[in-house]
Amino acid sequence: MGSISKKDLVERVRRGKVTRDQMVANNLSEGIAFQIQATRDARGWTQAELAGRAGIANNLPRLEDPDYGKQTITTLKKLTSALDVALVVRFVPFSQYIDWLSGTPHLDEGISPESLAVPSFVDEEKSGVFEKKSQYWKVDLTPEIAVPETEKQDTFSMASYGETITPTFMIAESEREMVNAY
Amino acid sequence: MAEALWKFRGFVTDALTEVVQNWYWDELTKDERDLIRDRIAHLEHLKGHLWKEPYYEDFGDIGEIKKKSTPRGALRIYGVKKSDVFVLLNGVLKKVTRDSRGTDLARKRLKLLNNGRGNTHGFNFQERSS
Repeated sequence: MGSISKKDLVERVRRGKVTRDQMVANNLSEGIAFQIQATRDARGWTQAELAGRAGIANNLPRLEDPDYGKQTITTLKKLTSALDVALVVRFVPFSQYIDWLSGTPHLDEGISPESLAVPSFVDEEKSGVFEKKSQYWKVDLTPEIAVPETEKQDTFSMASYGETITPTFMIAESEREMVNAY
Repeated sequence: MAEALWKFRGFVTDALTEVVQNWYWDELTKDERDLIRDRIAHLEHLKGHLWKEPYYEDFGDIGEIKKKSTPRGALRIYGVKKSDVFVLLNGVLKKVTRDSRGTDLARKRLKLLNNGRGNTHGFNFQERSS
């Protein structure tokens, strides 16, 4: 089992605003520091080398200190370029944050009205989102073409339908199966 | 959730007392346990050679996972790396810069383990279920 359970995280955000603020700040600081360190190491670079490539003063020891917590977006963008990776900085609702921290599968719908106007913890609590079990859709790979009875088989094979057919797959609302992600 | 690189176990005395686990649950506040959990959640996925100062100090025989600033002082967890397991030997929360008593006790427990006394158990970082 991982060290952070979803149940504990829900209890934690409900403890109060100070705790929520600390949770976000702490995980941001820890995550960034450990990511810089591990990604730099994966490239085989020293701290000085990464600092040079990023064009920043060699304060990598501080940036890789999980207790530091004062990394600026400007510096992160420079490190992003040097490491040739993407950087995501965005506000998310606590329900989504908890799913991420606990490793719970979460369906991310991309840019949407909800992702732009992010609900507060209080709004989410009122909506009962923390009472719901996490869910993601299990996709039913049923081909949307008629298959003669004689050709039906237990194992689905693309080759069975010939090369000219592009199978499409239905995910009907009624066929969606909730999967308990706990 | 991805499989962790590290497993964490705690020292158990011959009398079956889970001393570090008890310290974690009984002596720390929820906020302090949160700080440890956040740190462990990252460390358990970090390759061993990357564990280093300022958050980890290697003393050769034992090591120290450190969370410097909490309202009640520095959180220190002493332990020993054995393959892909980190055995927690002692936990201390104190406002001191050097904690020789903490390291001494950790070394004493390591010696017991090496002599076949005491044991280890799967450490539980979750909140204790009531």
